[in-house]
Amino acid sequence: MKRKLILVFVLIISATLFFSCSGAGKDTAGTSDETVTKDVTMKTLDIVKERGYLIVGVNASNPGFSYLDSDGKYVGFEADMGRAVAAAVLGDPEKIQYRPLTSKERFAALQSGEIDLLIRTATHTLTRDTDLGLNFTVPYYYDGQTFMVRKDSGIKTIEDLEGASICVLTGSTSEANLSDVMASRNLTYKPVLYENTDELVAAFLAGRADAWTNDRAGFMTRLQTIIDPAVYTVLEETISKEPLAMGVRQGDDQWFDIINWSLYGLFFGDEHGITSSNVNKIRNSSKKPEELAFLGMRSDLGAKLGLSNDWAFNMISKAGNYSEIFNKNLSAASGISISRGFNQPWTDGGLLYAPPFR
Amino acid sequence: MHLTKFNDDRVIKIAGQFIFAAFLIMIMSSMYGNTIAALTKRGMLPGFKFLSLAAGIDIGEHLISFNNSSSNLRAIVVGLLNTLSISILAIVFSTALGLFIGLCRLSKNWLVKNIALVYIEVIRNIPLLVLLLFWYRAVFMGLPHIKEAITIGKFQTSDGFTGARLFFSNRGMVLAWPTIGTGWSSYIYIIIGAIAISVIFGIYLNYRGKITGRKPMTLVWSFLLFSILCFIGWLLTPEAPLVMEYPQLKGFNTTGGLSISSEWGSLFSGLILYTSAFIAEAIRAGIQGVDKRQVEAARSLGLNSFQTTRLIVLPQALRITIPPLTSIYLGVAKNTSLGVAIGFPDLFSVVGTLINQTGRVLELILVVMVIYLTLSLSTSLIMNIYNRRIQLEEK
Repeated sequence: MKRKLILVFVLIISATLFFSCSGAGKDTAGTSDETVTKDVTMKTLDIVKERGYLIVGVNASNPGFSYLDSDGKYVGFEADMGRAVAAAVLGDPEKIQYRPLTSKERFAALQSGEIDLLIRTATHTLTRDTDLGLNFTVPYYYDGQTFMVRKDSGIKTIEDLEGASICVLTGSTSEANLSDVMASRNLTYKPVLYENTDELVAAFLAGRADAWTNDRAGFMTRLQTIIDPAVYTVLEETISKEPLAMGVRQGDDQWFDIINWSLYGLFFGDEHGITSSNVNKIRNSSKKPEELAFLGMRSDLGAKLGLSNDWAFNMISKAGNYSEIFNKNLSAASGISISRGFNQPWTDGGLLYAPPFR
Repeated sequence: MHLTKFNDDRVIKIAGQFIFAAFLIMIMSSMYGNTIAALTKRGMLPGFKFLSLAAGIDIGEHLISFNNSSSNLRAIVVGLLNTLSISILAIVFSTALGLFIGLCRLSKNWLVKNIALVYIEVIRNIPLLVLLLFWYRAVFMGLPHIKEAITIGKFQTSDGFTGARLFFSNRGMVLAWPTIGTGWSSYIYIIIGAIAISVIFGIYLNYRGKITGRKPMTLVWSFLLFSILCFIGWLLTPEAPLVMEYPQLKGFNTTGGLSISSEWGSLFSGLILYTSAFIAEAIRAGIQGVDKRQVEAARSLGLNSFQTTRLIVLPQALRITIPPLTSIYLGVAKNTSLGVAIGFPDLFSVVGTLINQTGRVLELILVVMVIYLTLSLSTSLIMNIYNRRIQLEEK
């Protein structure tokens, strides 16, 4: 009898403890740990400034775009974009921490507040923009989906793929694009879906499928790792638009503006030929009002964003402009040769177009 | 008065259960509330409307028609059917193989016994995922390319393509398969008639068995009669009821015939290998669990070795074997989800794709959990009913 009374007591006490805990949990809306404050009501800029460094979600194994090098450092086009943002916000490109994310994890990491900024080959689509609780910035890279085939297969155009087996990575926009294109052209095919790139590449190289579909830049970087790249070729045709954009949490307009204008700053530097080596000279001697305003000489553009007025100067001088970052990671000098294509200033026929800095 | 009530054993028991139930409900509702609140805050209100929208993807293997404009729900059904079909086939085949190996394990022949022992010990101790990758990467991907496929019964068609009875390449196996011919509509009546006659014959056999006291092999004889009737009917039908369709190599792939992809083949082989080792052990345990004196008694009553196994040992062994067999069967349906590693579009793989296309993580994971739970519960329900039927009826 006594034992049962004690049991009832223990139950009541644990129940009370539980309810008091859940009551406390409701006020903060989520948990917090030492390094990351996940309070969604707080502005991201304030969180980043208070913390002293920026947390960016990236890929850990995408050569050219973002990967861990032999020294354990993140390098690549996307990793450097993150450094540019850190330089603009905190004045130092090294005040940054990277979080490696898979394509499945990436959006959840941003939603939960684990990262401040997502730069991980995410294609901007309407569904993702509306359903995932996040905002996409202006695209930082215009990519397009295409096919890789064996040269001796005789496949030259997409119409030649009638009846072919095509392998594709599941969970990507490529999968849906492939389905749409083949349906609209009335072509039949057999999809072979893989969860993991290594499994896919192994099967493709073994001849399990006739073609492999992916983003063009992805092929260029992958070709480096294939034993016999001369056997394979990438089709000329592009079947989709893949505007790769950075992601930020929805509902923080200030942070959204900061990331967008940082990107515009990189485009502006490219368009006006302002590089890390000549930015000092231009700040002191330029006659063009917009360039001076951009570099914080004649106006308080930075303050309007909540940053220091020399934000753009810091960014260009310490991280370089768009073409510097591109050439360092994706041009022939880096071993991966991708042509600029759409990814050059509008003045050169590309799509990079920054609104006026005034 | 108050105190005596609180001291009453029954009252405390009921009160304790009430408190525990209330405790559970509070945990569940607070978890639910937290989730909904957090999702609403981020503008991601949960709902199931997306299930009727177009999925906009293709699935490599589908038992029902599926294309780009089919709905998300249909995609889930396609995945479920893939999971179900491969699980059922794997269960049937691994039970047969497991029974065989289990009996070998008990053989008096030293070599047979030890081969079975090595098989069981090696296979049981390798993770299923490793087995699957072995089949896929080492066996199926090692086969020749479709252009140099291994063929049986190769011939040239009139329009210049290569046809064969069987193509075997690293894309899988394609074999000639019967399709419905012009005589099918009349032949179907012969089949119905044959079924009716066989059933009546079976009932008669059982009836005679009760009189003579000999247990007849009803299933074997009825099936034999059915096959003979069908064969005679086939010869009598003027037009062929079924015609063989031979696969042909056209363009990049083969068309026609029955196609079994490498992914399906790898998953199927891996599952059978893995599951049969466990089943063999369950069957050995069942047979060894039957009292030795039962066999001795049967032999002294004049039953031969085959009759002893069929009438005395197996029925009793079955009682011991069914419960562990049930949990092995439950594992098979769940193990098919490992097919995602080698690109087989089972339920889990399809749902993984949909999660990425729609962003509806919570809803889809819930759907998958409910489906797997239903599958497992219905499997164990069927096995429990069967188990109850074969148990000793105490009089």
